[in-house]
Amino acid sequence: VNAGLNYLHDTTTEESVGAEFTQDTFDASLSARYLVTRRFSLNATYNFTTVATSAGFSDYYGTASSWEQSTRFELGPRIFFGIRPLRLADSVYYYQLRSPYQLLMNDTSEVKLHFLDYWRVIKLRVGLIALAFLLIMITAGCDDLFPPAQYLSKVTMEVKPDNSGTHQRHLSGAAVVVVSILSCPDAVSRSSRKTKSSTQSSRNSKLQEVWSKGRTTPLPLQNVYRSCWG
Amino acid sequence: METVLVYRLGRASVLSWNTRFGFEESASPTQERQVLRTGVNFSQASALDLT
Repeated sequence: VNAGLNYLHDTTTEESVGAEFTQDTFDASLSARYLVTRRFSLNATYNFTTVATSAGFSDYYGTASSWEQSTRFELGPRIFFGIRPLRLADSVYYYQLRSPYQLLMNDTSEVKLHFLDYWRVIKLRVGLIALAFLLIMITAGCDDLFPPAQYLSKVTMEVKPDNSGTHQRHLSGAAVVVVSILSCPDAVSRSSRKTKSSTQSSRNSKLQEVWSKGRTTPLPLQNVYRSCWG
Repeated sequence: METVLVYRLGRASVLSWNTRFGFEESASPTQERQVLRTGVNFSQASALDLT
């Protein structure tokens, strides 16, 4: 006949969040063994176990706790090979009663996260947060101090009415001339090389048409450019 | 730290007290687990007189 009382106190500390979990286990057992032969016995075991668990952040809003109780009754034959007994059948008569209970604050079974939980994590990880913040700030500062090259150009055009004629066409023609000046070959090569040659030739013919008005033969293009640039 | 105390009550009775306190293996590297185990056990052996 064996009787035992065992107590187990288990404290687990989670360093990352600063939480502490404790578990208290109380176990009482009573067993009897009847040796039928040298190698064969009948066994009866009764176990009563109570487990109480508490978890949470006990320093500011208490602990959440729970406990459960189990009763186990075993009856079965065992056979001996060597020193340790071998069970012939795993609990021939096996009876277990488990009664879970939850005793939690606010009658809830969930451990809710409080704002202070997050604050605690922030305090624990303040170094990492500061490092990430500094890296972002340094990257933004370097990007601001050494930006890629950017250029800005500004053009002011003055369009004057052509008083020599009376038609609106002259005014529009003058505007075309001014715009065309900006599109002279040199300016085109500086500003953009994507201008298509067909567009350029049409502008040239327009220039020739405007500047050759009143003439029987159109002015050569070189003369038109010369007139453009004054 | 472990202590074992065994007291023999009679020819067929033994009372023992076991205690262990210390760190044990935890589930993750960020955990620290400290465990206290203590227990009292009593054993009584009896034999039928077959004669």
